[in-house]
Amino acid sequence: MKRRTFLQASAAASIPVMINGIPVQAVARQSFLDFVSPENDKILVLIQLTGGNDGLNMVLPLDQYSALSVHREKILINENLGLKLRDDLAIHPSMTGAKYLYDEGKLKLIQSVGYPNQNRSHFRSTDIWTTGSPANVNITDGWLGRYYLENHNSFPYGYPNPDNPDPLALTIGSQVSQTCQGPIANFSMAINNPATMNLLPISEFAENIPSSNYGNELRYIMTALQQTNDYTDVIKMANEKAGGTIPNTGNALLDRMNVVAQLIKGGLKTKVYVVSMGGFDTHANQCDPDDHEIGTHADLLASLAGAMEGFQKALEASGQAKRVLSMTFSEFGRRIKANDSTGTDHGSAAPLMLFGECIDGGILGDNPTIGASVTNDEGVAMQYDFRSIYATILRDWFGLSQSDVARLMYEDFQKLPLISGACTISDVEDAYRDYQLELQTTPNPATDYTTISFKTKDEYVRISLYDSIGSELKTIFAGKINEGNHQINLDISNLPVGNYVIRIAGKSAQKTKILSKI
Amino acid sequence: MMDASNLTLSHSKTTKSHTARPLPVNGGLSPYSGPWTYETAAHLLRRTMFGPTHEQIKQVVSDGLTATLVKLTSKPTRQPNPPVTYTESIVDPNVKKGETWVRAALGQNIQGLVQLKENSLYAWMMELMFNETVSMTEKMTLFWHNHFVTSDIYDPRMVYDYISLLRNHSLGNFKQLTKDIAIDKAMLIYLNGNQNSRVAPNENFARELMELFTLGKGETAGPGDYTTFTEMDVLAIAKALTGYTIFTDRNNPDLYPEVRYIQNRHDTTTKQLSHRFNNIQIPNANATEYQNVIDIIFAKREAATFICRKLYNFFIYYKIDDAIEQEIVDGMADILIASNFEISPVLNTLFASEHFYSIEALGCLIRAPYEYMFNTLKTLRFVPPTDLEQKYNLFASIYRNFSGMQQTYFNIPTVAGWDPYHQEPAYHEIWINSATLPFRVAFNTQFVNKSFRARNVTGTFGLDLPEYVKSLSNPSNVNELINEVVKHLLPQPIEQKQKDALKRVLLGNLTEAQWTTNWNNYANNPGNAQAKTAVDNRLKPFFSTLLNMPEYHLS
Repeated sequence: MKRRTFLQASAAASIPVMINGIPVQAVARQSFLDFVSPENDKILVLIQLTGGNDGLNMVLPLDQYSALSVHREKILINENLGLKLRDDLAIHPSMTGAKYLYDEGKLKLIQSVGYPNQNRSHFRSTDIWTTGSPANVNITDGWLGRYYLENHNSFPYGYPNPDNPDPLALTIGSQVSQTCQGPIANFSMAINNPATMNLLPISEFAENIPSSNYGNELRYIMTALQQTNDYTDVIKMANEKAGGTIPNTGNALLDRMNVVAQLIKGGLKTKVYVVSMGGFDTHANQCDPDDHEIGTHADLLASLAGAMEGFQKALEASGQAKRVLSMTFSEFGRRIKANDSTGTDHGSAAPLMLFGECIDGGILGDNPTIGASVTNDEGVAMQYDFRSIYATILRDWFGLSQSDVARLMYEDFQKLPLISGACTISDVEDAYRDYQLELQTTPNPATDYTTISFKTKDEYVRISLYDSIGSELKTIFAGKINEGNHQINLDISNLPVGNYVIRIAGKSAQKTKILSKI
Repeated sequence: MMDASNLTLSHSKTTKSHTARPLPVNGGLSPYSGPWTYETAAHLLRRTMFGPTHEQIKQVVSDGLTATLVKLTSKPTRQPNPPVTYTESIVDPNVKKGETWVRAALGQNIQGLVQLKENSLYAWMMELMFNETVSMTEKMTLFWHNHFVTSDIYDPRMVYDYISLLRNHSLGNFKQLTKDIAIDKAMLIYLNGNQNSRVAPNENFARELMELFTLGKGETAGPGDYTTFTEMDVLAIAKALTGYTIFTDRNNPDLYPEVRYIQNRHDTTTKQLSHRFNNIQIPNANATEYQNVIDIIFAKREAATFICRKLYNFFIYYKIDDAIEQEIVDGMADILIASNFEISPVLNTLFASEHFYSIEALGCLIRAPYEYMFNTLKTLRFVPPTDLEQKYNLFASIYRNFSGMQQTYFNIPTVAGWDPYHQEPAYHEIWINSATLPFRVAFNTQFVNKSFRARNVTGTFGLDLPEYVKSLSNPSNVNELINEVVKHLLPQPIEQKQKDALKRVLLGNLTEAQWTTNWNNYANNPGNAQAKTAVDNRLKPFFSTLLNMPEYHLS
């Protein structure tokens, strides 16, 4: 299917702000036609794993096992008990549901997803993930909030309406999701169980609402009351249309995802659903000290994988699977070294999972490299920027143009091969799909100089040097480069001894290498 | 790359936000000089308490602002009695019914006993909020709970000690409270301080101590540099705090847990701080080193500005711009520093200020669930049962009711506190959404209709509405009744058509004259059940409607 064309009206009052050369138009926009037709309504389901998921316990790089067994002696799962997806990679033994999806070609595992200058505060890092902002810029809109703002800039006022009768986004739970935060209100509605929702009594509303802080908050509450009732009606209808009952499975995450499956089946035209699962902040006792394959984190992963499988099967049973793409995310991974409390502390990058009928199944990226000696605070180096995944979803799943995506994400992130060609509604630059940048550096370990060798297409590339906790130390090269093999000498004589990461990112691929300074 | 402040600015300039406007400075912290009326007194009590009665407001009007502030911000002279064992449905070999369990053996091996103590603690906490007098103690205890968060602590005795510490210091000294909380049992568990040792430093508490409890996190100025502190400081301070742990006797885990300092768990090296602390060093000071750490942190001005911003957000309004920062927050911080971090002088100034009594500040705050629901129970004079077991069961059920509204004491979702108190840009609007509104409606409606059920209690609970209405000046006149109730319960006047609608609900099929007759009949025959039912049947739909008005969510 062809990408839809967008018409942009004049943006009269816009004040463009330039970030990395991309204008950010933070203006009330009425500039686009509605770009999604109901028959082609793509749905995104986000599964937020709050607390910081231990990626190295979820996805085990078997080729790094000897180093891991030093750093994680007290928590590491037995290499023979992991569920092998590949000779050099296994997932946690409790994740049979994820293995099933992988074998069906419906799971994409993306390795080492993070961002430059990793922040290790739960709150700040959650904000970074939910807003899709750079680590050093504070943005309060959610990344999906910005997407919704394109077409719904007066929300919540005037909603629902004949063109938008259903909630734009739904959070299953009691709090709306920060991913859907707009400048005025959150675009998502929070619901628990559709079967037990009731209409609220509405009193006589004020007519002349004062233009004051009191008036603003009053208007907000009036809108919330009225909207709750309007949306409650359509949600209950969708639920009843789909059969009315949602079974209790004993897996709380699956129960919430079954609500999503039910509403999709019932024809609700909501485009984004967010469910979340807590408990991943495993500073202590993340596994049984005597049996590393069981315990807190194993239980979490079992629930997660079970919910993924159950949800996918529910969608398939109702014939809706082609419309739905699901993604897990967590604010950070955890450190390479386990702590003394049979747990792990806040780290850096971690794997991320996408699943669904339309997924280009497989594993994206290399196994992380685990040094033989790592410092206490070392995390897994970032390979993929999470905003590349968001950009790909906006582009290939929601069908926005490259320039719109670049504007919404504040930067032109590379598009990744995540969605299978048959499903994507964007035009794909095939030449740039599925190719690998080659990156080497010699000598390594090195003391004064190392020579970075890399191979590119004719494209814009950026090569950066990071320290072991993910802070970007310098840009080695950024610019347009011709197709072919290239070399750059890097002076490292001033760097302190330790592990560093060299990362190259091009139009649709990237590579990282660990560099040891001795 | 753009710097952060410019980007944020461009957003707020170009989006037509309905909510992001700060209050006008309006005279700032200079003393309020306007008239002292029912409206101003009600505003003060609504913000500083959980639900002032009509009588309390009238008393404050006659007492005046200065005398009232003394009452509100004085440290309590005595601690409340501790929670007690309230039932014999599970037998505790160490504690009899009516006695407190807070120092007794836990009884982990007795099925349901720990749960029962938790219920006792929760009920006790709800009753304290319900029974508050004209004092900020309970409101400030909630503030500190949201600030120095601990959550999901398995031993209710530790939770009792933790909340008692907060209540003791609720109107006391912020610096001393920070020192005491650093070695509090619940906090040692919640932020892993008990696992922080020389061999394996655990940064969790050290990080939150600076990021969330004292300094706040500034702009990122460089790798690991958050302006107010750096990653290097997190590690150095984690090391300085090592050595404290909780002692539990392996042979008798039921014993009352104690905090102990274990010398060989303490890192005795000299800790180097970053340029954000002027590169100073923390020399080893063994068991008292943690106090030196907190003194070092509190030497920074941010320790005062950060908490003052939070007080402003919690009590006044969520939006702070440069003008509010300079005219209000900075002034509060000066007072806090001048008083060596005593909290009361800051509150005294804030609640006596022109800024606080500006017309724009009336009703601009969305009530948190505890403010919302206790306002109903307290203003409308709910009378709890006197029987110990029934009373605890009732308040425990009330406690559980708050989870749907997203605010549950001792169970805060994250260490940053409940989102609506800090999450940009929506802040307290987060309390209100389609998932939480039905719980607010249900709670009010059940109490109005006397249909609230408590676990393990037969029968139902509710409000005695005629009894409340009796306290008004002239309830026989339906118009005066409505005016007075609106003035008591709603933060700003409402429109005539809203009053008319309320009147239609109150009268039903009655005429105004018939209401007067019915009311006088009840007033002259208070013991006549039929007379009471006649007025109650009209008051129920009236209050049910009024308490579900959007205005009632505002304070």
